[in-house]
Parts: sequence; C-alpha cells; structure tokens
Amino acid sequence: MGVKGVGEAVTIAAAPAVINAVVDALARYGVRDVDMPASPQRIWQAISSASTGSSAATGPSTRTSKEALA
Amino acid sequence: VIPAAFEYRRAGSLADAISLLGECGEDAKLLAGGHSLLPLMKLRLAAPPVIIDIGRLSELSYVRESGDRVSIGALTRHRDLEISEVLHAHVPLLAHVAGQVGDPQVRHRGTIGGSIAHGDPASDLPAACLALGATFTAAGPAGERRIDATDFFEGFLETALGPDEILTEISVPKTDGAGWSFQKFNRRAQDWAIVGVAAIAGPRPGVALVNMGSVPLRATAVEEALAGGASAAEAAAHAADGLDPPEDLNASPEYRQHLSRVLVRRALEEAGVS
Repeated sequence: MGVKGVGEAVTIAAAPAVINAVVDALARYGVRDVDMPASPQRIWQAISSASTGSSAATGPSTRTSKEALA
Repeated sequence: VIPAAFEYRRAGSLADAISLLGECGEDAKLLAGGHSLLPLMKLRLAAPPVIIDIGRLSELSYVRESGDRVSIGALTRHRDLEISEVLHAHVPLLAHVAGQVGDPQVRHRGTIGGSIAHGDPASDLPAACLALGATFTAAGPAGERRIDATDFFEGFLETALGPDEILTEISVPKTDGAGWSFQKFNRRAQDWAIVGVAAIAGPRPGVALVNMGSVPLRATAVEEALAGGASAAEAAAHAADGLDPPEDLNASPEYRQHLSRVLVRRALEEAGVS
C-alpha cells in the first residue's frame, strides 16, 4: 500500500539520537554500541569491557543506530 | 498491600513502652514513624503480632548540645535534623544526610531512631552515625546501656538491641570546623543509594559505606590507609577491600565495588583529606 508513518517521525528519532550521542562520547574508549537503557551500570560495563578488549569493540562498527536500539 | 492482622498498643511514656515490650516479648515491634516497618508489613515481609506505637513519646524528640557532643532523641524526625541549628553549627554532616533521605513525605515522618534500629544497610543515617563515631543509648527493664555504633549493626536488619530494649538517644561528637562529605549515588533523587559514602575529616576521621554489604559498614581499609599516611586517591582504592556488596537491578557487586572507590575518593577530596 505504500503507507508510511508521519506523525511519529520526530519521536522515533529521539531515542537513537541520544544513544548515538552516548556512543559517540564513549568512542575514545573503543565503545561501538550501547544497549538501551543507557543506565550508569551499562555505561560502566561498556567502558570496562571495551578497554579490556573483551567485547566486539575492535574494528569499525557495521551497526546502524537502529540495531543499537534493539 | 494490606498488612496481616495485628494487635495495636500505644505507649504513653517510655516506661510504659518498656513494660509493654516486656509483656509482649519477641512478638512485638515498635512503631515510630513507620516508614520502614509499615512498607514491610504491607508487603507481608513482616507480620508482627503486636505493634507498640511509640510515636507520641514527644520526650524522645530533641536535638541538644551536651558538652563536646550533641544528643539527639530517637524519635527526632529527619526533617527536624535537616533544619536543626545545633546540627548545622556542630555536626553539619548529620543535618545534610538527614536531608538526603527519601523524599519530603518520608523525612516528615521517619525518625532517626527508627532508621538506626531498623539497621538497613541501604539507609543513609546509619552510615553517617558510623562515620561520626556515634554512641547509641538503649533503655530496657534493667536500665540504660550505651552501644558504640561500630558494635551495633550485627547482621541484615539485625542490631545489638535486645527484644525488650528501646533505642532512646543518639549521641555524636561535635565536629566543629572539620571537613565532611556525603556522596549518594542513585538514579532518582528519592531512591535508596546504590552506593553511598559518609566521610568526616579532622581529629576523629571516619569513613562509612551505604549499601556495600549486609550491614551499614565502616570503610576500615580506607581508614587504616589514611592513618598510615595514604593520600585520598590511594586510600580510596581500598574502599571495597574485603567487601561483598549485594546485587540488584541497579548494580552488580562489581559495579558497586567500582562505585565505592570513586565515591570514597570524591568524599575524601570534598572533606579535605589529602
């Protein structure tokens, strides 16, 4: 039918924008993605595991912001 | 949501409360502000057969100077500590910590004695009392006795109070001019601390931890490092030494250990421990 959502378009972008900002801020530690919600413990874990190299943090990320949301 | 049935007794005086406790024994729980006990009863985690209401014993609500110490009645509400001029002048850490407990509704009902006698490791005031080197007075049928805060918290929600004793007074040394800090880490202002740290500098330094074990704790490894001449950063690295903090939705034990090291360093720096 080619139907597209319009009314929620701005709302949908907000969460990935925030998460992308968090990921960008943590890029220097090698963090490539953060699962929502970005709680303090999640951020700490992301930094810890990225800096010990135990996550998939090495190499360029192929994830889109939509996948990081899932 | 609805507590189990219980018998309600109201104490008209401290002596009356002690005799009611003697009469009802282990079956009885004391009710002060009710902000720890009533939620447990509504969740049916506690179902005491008898409640002895000491909420009207106004003689146990006071903050007054007593030489080089400040004496606080056990039924003094958090809000009254928060705005006490005596505390602001002589023990500002305690006034500040009281103002960090829960939300305004809780602070207008909850009492310092209730918080301490409950012995919850996640409560703020027990840690403040530990850091300050407080002494508690317990009254029972055999009279009064004093218990050091360090010896008071024996196990999860267990204290040195006997079943026939009432916590009547909290005595803390004046800390005039000494640096102090309270660091409370949580996600919403009214929540329990995920981890908290109370620190006092000066001639009687002390550091205590919120929510880092089954009881409110002194950070003894940090205190020993400081006594041995360590810097704030060096001492803070020992914050979680030997501790086994709890796990819950907010934090893993490892995250709590990390938080304790960061918060102790911030607390020592703010208190001016170098």
